[in-house]
Amino acid sequence: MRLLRVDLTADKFETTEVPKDDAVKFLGGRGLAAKILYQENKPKVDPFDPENRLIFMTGPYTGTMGSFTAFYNVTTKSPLTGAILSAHSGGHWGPMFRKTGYDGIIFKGKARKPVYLLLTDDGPELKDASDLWGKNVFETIDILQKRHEKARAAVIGPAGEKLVRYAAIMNDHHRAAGRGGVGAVMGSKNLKAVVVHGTRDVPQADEEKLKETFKTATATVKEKSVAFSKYGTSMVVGITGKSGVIPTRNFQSAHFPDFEKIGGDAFVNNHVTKNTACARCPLHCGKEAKSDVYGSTTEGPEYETLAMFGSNLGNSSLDSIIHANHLCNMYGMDTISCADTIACAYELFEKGILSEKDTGGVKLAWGDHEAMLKLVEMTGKREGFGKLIGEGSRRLAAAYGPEAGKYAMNVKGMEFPGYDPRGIQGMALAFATSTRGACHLRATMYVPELFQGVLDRFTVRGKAPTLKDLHQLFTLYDSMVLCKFGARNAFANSWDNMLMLCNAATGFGYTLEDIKKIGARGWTVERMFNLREGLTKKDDTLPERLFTLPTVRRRERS
Amino acid sequence: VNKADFEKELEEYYKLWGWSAEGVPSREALDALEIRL
Repeated sequence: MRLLRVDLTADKFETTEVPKDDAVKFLGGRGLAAKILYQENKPKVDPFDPENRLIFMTGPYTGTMGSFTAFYNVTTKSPLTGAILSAHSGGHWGPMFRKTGYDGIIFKGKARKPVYLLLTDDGPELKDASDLWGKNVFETIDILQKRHEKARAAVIGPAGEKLVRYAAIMNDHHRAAGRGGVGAVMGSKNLKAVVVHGTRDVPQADEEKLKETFKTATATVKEKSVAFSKYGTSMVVGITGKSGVIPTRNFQSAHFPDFEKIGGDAFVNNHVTKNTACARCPLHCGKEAKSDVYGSTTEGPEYETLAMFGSNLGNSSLDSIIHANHLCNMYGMDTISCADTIACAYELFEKGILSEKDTGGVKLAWGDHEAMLKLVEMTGKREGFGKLIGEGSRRLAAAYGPEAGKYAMNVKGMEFPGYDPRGIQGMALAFATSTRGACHLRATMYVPELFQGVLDRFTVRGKAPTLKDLHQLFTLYDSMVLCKFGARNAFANSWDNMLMLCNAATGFGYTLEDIKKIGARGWTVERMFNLREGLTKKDDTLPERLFTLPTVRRRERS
Repeated sequence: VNKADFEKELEEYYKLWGWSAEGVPSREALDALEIRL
């Protein structure tokens, strides 16, 4: 495995090989990046300090002839949480990057003026990005992909430049390494974009086997995942809405009577214009959607965005959610943290802790989607009250005293996605123990508890073994790097299938025990990183509301 | 979420990983995974 090291301060490059032992034991992606971050970051370094590493990493599965091979990983210390942060994005950037002959990039330092990295078969080059600074995500990608024909660009928008603590790195216009502020760390380094174009062969130990798995996966999803292909993640609104676990009004409730107005049928029948897909994906779960009311076209919104800009703000205007998704992509921000921080502000306003004096004259009331859109704009531009929204819910609430902290719905500083853990209680433990904060993609306990109904979702008791197994499995996915929708829909979240894919990609001859250890190793190194940064058991918890405010109706239990 | 149940299950989760009651990986747990940082 080859890594490109970029010192932005010194304007220097170095190519290094990953020691074979590390490649075998950590595989790549999230696990390997966690080890590098642990070893190379100084303990307790500020996330915006130039010494904080920003690591782009692929895995041995990225860009191969298997299926769902499009993803790449970005790892750093999060400016939102102070914990380790790994974020992932699909699209086409990852496979193109791997064709350059590299498997990862480690950035350190800070450029004196805005730059972007151009990496091709001919090698790396830092180029002036002064003309791009200030441009939004769509403009930046369009300019760079026109300037560098056939290249793919991963970029930041104004939110990343202005250090919004949950700024994203965006590629293919609408694909996001979204959570935790990887884009803000990139902005702090004056790095506007990473543009890649390669034509080399991607190494793969058993190409024929990988091609065969692509055919099998295609047949499986065509037979079993018809609804997911049609609706994408928007279909989840129907499940969480009916089950009383859709976050509503900043988690004051989990029952949103209007959920169908923001659900899959309304979305697909009235707004979706076409399906989209990442490289080597037979699922096509991406949805291009249009709002005639706002004149915006976007890719998404995904379920989490529908829930957090929808029910969690008491908002049933699907057009406004589509537009909010468009704005977040344009400015380059995580939709979940942006929406949740706005929901926190709405509740602070409701409780009288905030007033129009604080918000710059914007009155906040549940369901007022015009105020919501105004705050999204202010946050993306980092103007007025948007400066505080751009800090995330923990810091927003802290600015208004201890009482306000009760209304900041996050774990370790990262805001919650669209699953109320009071009605999916394995998720309570999953959110609390997640290394990056309240994340639904470190362990999908909602699948056995809610989607499949094979575990009692109304108790947290007895969930630890399943959760540990999922933490190992999902760390393995992120180390390969494999799309989790593909892993679930085509490979049944099965260890045996992962063993087959790992060996086909690497040729390392792993056993089942070996790959379980890879997952455990990555997870444990992330834990060690967080402990070193000062996080403790006290951070493995939930906001008090989720322990004290009941929301699940008892009648549902029967 | 019942807080007592949550705390108990959190302890069980730590135990399964071979971590202390404070959630710190033991030397044995690190050695078993051959983690040398």
